[in-house]
Amino acid sequence: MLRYLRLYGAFLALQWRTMLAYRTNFLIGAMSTIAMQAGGLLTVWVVMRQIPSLHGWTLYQVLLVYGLTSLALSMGHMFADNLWIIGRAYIRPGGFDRFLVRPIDPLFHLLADRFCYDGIGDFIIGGVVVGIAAAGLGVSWTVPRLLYLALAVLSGGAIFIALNLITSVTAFWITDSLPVTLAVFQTHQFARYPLPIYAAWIRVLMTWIIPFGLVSFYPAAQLSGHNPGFMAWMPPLAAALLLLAGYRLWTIGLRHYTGTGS
Amino acid sequence: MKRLVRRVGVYVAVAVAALQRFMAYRLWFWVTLLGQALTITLFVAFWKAVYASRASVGGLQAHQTITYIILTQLLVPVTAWTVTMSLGYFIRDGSIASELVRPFDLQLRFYAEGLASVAAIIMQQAIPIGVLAALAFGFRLPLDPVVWLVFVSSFLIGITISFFVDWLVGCFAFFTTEVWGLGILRNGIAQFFSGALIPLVMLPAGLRNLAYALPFGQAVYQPISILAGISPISQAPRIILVQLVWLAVLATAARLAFTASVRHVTVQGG
Repeated sequence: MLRYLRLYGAFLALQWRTMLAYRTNFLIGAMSTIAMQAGGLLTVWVVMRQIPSLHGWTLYQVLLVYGLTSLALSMGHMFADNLWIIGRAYIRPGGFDRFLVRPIDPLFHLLADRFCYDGIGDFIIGGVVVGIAAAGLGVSWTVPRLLYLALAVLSGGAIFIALNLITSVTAFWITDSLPVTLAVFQTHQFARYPLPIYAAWIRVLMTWIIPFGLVSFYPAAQLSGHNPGFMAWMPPLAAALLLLAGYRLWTIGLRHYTGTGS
Repeated sequence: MKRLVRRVGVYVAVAVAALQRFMAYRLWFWVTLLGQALTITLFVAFWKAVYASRASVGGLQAHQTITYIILTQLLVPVTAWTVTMSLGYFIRDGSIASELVRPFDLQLRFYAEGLASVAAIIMQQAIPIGVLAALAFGFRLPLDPVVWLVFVSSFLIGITISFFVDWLVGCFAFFTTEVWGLGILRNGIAQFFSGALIPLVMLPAGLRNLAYALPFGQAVYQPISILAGISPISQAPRIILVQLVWLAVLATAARLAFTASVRHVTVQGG
């Protein structure tokens, strides 16, 4: 475990040097992710100024849901972005075989091969929005609350990563897994707004089947006093289960993998 | 015999690879449709929740806003040209040099290609998803042919304006290699200020004036607000006139920027 942490540090240092060489690119990347989110946020702000609440959720509560989604998303974006392109950037050109002959876990190698700086933009905007929302709601940051927030963000990040892992495993069979990953990933848009605004089938889908709702809605409910009961603790549980399932599928896929050249 | 098997095996592998590519293409198509259906469902849910507590928000009725938002979600993919990225990559990998010596106008070539994809997206995505959305959410369009005529003209001018904007952004690739980020940045800004998320008339005065001062609304908000019944038809002459001014200014700017950038060109790596 310690060895892997040290290795990750080495990989990170390497990429940091590459990043410094292309500073403008880094700035544009971070600004672009911020710009993508700013539009949705401005819309929420403009609309919520004119109405008292969205099915009982006030402006700051809606912002909390929005910000938590960005924070969780940023985890996957920063640390596991290579899952998106495993097919087209590694398996198809044959570069994936390189991971198989190294004395480290191929999945670790794939993830550590790229730290995506664009995700920092998501992280910043998510942090700022959660901060503003909490201030607006008068949430005092006691130690248990901060710990719960950290747990929620990490679990949310793990849910994003695990779902991307599960869909990217299809690359071992169909080579380009990107459309499959995108199909599942894009449903996370629903998680940006409070679940009560949706029809029942979407609420069920987002809580129990593709549980992006867990990354933002239930933690936001817990933090803003909507009291979701035991559902507040579903995110870490779901994250653990999904990660286990994802890793299991990954090993099955790896066993099936024969390379594109043979 | 063994050799024969191996030889046949090679062609089977080639055929499987081709089949996989074809499937991947089909898959992309369905995923795009699914994504669009998803955003429409999401936006309709959001706006219905907004109108749950009052009949009029920002001077618009629920049916106006919901029709408007469904139409924008159907047509935004049409207005998002891929020029920024394709021109950008041409510049980045240096193939722009060989494109420039060809005996035709590069800009017109991109425009012609773009128009073809506009037609394809309307037929393959906007119409089928529109029919589904009409069945699911029951939005209704006007029957007045004059409204449709104004809408179509305004939309055609609008997407041409959008083309020149994208061309200008693409020219930045002469100065940075981060083409993908550039495209996303443009989409992020355009997404809000084009009115793709919210009718521009709902914005508070400061933001609204900013949105009107930017070109993005000319391709989305102006034409669609006519069709959704937000802008009355009496405003049509003024809307089209403003669009024509934008068109003239941006077409000139795009030409000038490109010629100036080409002179600057050093092409990556030499």
